Parts: sequence; C-alpha cells; structure tokens
Amino acid sequence: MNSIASASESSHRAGLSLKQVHVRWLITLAVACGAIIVFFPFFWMAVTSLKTAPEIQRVPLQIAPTTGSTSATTSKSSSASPSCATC
Amino acid sequence: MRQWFRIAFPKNYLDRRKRAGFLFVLPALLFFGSVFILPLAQSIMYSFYKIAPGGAKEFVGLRLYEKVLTDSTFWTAVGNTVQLLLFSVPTTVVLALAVALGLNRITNLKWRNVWASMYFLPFATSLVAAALIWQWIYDPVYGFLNYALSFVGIPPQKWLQSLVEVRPAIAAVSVWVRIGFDTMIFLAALQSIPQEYYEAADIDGASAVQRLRYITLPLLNPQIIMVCILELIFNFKIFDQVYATTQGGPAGASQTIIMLLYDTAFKYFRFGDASVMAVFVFVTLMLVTLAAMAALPKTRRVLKTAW
Repeated sequence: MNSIASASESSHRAGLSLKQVHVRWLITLAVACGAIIVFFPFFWMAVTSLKTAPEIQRVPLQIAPTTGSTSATTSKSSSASPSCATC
Repeated sequence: MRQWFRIAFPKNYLDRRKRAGFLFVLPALLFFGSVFILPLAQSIMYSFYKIAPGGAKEFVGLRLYEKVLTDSTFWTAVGNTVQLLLFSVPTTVVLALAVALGLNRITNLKWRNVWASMYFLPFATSLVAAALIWQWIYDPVYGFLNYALSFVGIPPQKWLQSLVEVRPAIAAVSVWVRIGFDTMIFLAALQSIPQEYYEAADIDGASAVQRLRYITLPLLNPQIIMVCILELIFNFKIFDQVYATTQGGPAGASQTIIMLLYDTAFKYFRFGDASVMAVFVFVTLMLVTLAAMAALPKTRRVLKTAW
C-alpha cells in the first residue's frame, strides 16, 4: 500500500492531477485483472496436473492438490477425463 | 513467350538480372504452387465428380453443387458458423482494443510487458490444448466455471452439452485464444500515433472521450479493419476447438462448415460433396477479403480528407 501511495505521490508531483493519477491506477488495475483472468486457464491446467484422479473428480471442487505424490498422480489421473464416455 | 526465352537464355545484363530475380522467386513460387494452388485446383476439379471410396470417379457436372447447396444440414452448419462469428469477432475486437488502450496508458514498461505477455500467451498455445483446458473448465460437474458461478448464486450450466450455450462457450475459447494477437496489433498501432496530435487536442481542451473519438479511433481504422478481416477468416475456418471439445454436438448445435466438411470427407468418404464445401468456403473468404481490400483504400482516402 505504501508503494502505491508513494507512486501516486510521485505521479502527482510529475504534473498529473490527482484524478488523472486515480484513472491511471484504475486502468492498470483493470488491465491486470484481465491479464489474470486470461492467464487463469494455464494456472488451472498446472494445478490439475498435480492432482490425483479422486481429487480432480471431487464435488465440491478442490482448488489445490493435497498430496504431493507424483506416482499417484500419474497412475490414476490418466483415466480421468471430463465427459469422456469411453474412459 | 519471347520474354521467357530471353530470361532462360539471357543475352545482356538486364536479362541476367531478370533471370536472377526469377530464380530468387522460384522456390517460393514452387512451394505456393504445390501447397496451395495445386490442392485448390484439385478441390475445384473434384467438386464436379462423384468419387467412390475406391477412387472411381464419375463426372456429374453441377449436380453435387445442387445437392450440397440444397441440403439443410449444410445451411445449418453455415448458420452455426455465422453465429460463432457474430459472438466472437465483435467481442475479440472490442476487448482487444480496450486492452491495448489500457496497456498503452501504463507507463511502467516492465509491468506493461508482463501484462501484455499474459494476454499473448493463449495465442502461443496449440488450439487443441486450449480447447482441452476449456473442456475441463466447462465441465458441468467438475468444471471450475460452474464452481465459481455457484458463489454468486448461479445454478450449474451444461455449457458444451447445452444446445443454447455451446456456441457462446466455443466462441469464448476463440476470444481467449485471439485476444492477445489482436491486442499486439492495436498496441503497435497506438504507439505509432504521434503524441503531437494529443498535445494539440489537450491545448484545444478535448476530453479523453473526444481524443479517443476524433484521434485514436480514426487513426486506428486500417488496423481495426485488418483485425476484423483476420478474425472473420480465423472464425470462419474454425475446426480445432470444435473437433477437440464437442465434435459438432450436441445434436449438431456446434457443427461448423469445416467440421461438416471433415465429417463428409473422412467419415462418410464423400469427397465430391466435401470439395463443394471447400469451394464454398474459398469463394466466401475470397469475396470477404476482396471487399475488405476495396474498403481499405476508401478508409485511407476518408482519413486523408478528414485531416
């Protein structure tokens, strides 16, 4: 928070009005939120790759993997696929 | 004919220069001819033949055109493709423009590059991989999207298994894949706009909306048109996402032209019918591109007279 406040002050000193500084921060925030939303599927793919089959198919959904066992992941997750009738 | 003879057997310096130029172009010409022109010519030729799976051909004239163009399945696929276009092209262009305008306002270069890279990453991903990631996210039971929507009280949706939601869901994947590329084009164009225009507008007391309306958008017009054409072509040829996720289902609700073409050629082995569809896609895209190329100089002329 302190760094944001100091950055705002430096921008203010650079000749921008307080409203312009706030608009600039809002734009940065919106762009950052959009980038995080766009990046999220990659994060979800990476997290899912670390889960075991029961963890992937748990209801309600489990965000983070609980076990770190790679052998369990590789042996079980190969049979898990969404909407896969032949699996 | 005489000119070609002179290129083949040059007598003076100018002829030798022409021959050198021709030889430089020759590899690209051979590649283009063998990879694009030859299959296109073959496809056009096959559209006049009824081809049996064994390879036996029978000339049928325009009968296959009549058959395909009066087939309701074909026009349903065309309708689905047009709906996907209507969902994804305006959304991609508007969002990419908004992101580019936002990125252009960020003065910290390090962070601007970080955000821009995050937007561009989906474009660098294989379309099949992207489709499979989204298949997980859209899953009605185990998918993250329904899980996230449950927090705001929205009941679970079927997404890729619903007749209504499947097309917007696939269009969203296209938007996700293409937004980074379009953003980069707009960002490059925005950075080439001279700052003097904005300084002059500031002196005249123009607001931010007026600067966008009267400076940025008119100067971005060629890029906007170009991106629209690229998006139109990309979405008209949509195949990978559909094939990897729904394979045209449920009940043909996401059957696009190229998906139908693939099924007709490689599932039902009706190569003649598939060639007619290929010719339809080629002619449609060529007409769109020619129309856009005709519109581009007009846009430039309008801009010149405006300034």
